[in-house]
Amino acid sequence: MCTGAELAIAGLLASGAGTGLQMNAASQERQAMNDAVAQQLAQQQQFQQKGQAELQQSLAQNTPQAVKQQQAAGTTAAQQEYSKVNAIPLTVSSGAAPSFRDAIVGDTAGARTSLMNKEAAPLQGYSDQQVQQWINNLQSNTALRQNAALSQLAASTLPIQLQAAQNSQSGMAGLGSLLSSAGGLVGLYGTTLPKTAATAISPWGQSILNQAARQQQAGNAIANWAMNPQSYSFTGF
Amino acid sequence: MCLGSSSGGADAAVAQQKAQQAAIQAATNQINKTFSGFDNNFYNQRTQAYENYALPQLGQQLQQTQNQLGFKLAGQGLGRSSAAKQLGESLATETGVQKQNIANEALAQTNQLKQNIAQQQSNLISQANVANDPSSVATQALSTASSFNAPSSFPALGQAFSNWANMYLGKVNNSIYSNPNMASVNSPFNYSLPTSSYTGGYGSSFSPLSYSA
Repeated sequence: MCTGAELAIAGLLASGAGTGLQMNAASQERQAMNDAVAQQLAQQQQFQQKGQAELQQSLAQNTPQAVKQQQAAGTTAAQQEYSKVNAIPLTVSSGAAPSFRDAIVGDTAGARTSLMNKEAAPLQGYSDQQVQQWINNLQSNTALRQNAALSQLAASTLPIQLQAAQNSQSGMAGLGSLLSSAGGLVGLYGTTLPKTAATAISPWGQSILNQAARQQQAGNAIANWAMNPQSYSFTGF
Repeated sequence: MCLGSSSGGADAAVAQQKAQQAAIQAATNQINKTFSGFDNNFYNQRTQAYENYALPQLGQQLQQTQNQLGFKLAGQGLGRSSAAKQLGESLATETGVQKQNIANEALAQTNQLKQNIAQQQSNLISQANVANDPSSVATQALSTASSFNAPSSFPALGQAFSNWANMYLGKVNNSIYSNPNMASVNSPFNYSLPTSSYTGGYGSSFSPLSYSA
């Protein structure tokens, strides 16, 4: 039989191992929560970078130089369209036609029309530029809205991940709590036993002490295994 | 066995979120692919379609206006005068203006179409962002895009030369009254040219000149 002191010591050791397990479980849960937040932040940074790239691209299309280029392109397109339309004959001139009909295909009217077209083309260029700008802005806004939607979708899982991380080591914490409680009970039982004259620890008491030490070692091993299950092997006790 | 509790619920949520992201991206790609057919070539064809529709109408109106002018000038013996040439040039210039208007209208319609298509594309992508099944929105894109491919009805051209006719053909009328050679046969209060002198070669679709005070 072991003495009350021995039982008290054994209980204390078991309680210590249990507390160690609980602390380790809490530490791992904190780490898991931090990992979930860090992972989410990394994801959000990617969305942020993508959104910034979209915005920069949109801004690049809004510079005075870009606007001038768009206007010039619209002007050229309009000029080409006018020339194309003007080249299409609407009436047929015949040699027997009256003189006023000759003027229809005459150079004077052609020169006037050409001048009008030249002056009107830049106006069409402005119009084209505005339409193109409107479309560019719309496309940029659409891309930014989608980026925000995907970002929101990714962020929506964070509370669930945090909750899962918070409870990820509940098994280890429970085991630690059980061990701690058992150790407390054993210690309490040991302190209530009557004192004996024997001061030396009995062989059975010694084996209990050794067992308690191994129990603590096992507790630490379990904690380490929980932190790094792949590389840890349960040997040596 | 495992001392840590299972995080299956969170893993499933993350997996579902990633699947939804992928579905949205796939739907967006599909929508963009569906709308990629609306390129410069498509819009140029639409511009050309309006011009093909409007220019023959303009040609017909020009022919009618020329005939009207010819009637009136011939009736006054001004068929080969400098005034006739000036009116011809004026009509030719007006024709150039109307051609320009047609080109502008064609470009404006094309721009409007561009905006409509871009807006529809944007709407579909926005729907895909929030849809439970983004692939259904991608399918919807096909029908939306096909509606833009269908031939559209163009507005009627209208009377392109009405302003010119009011201004210049009216002047021809007025000039008759100021022509001393014609003064003896024309009364400013009751003037009417016989229609028979205008029927040769020009058809009968034009109403005779008339004036009443």
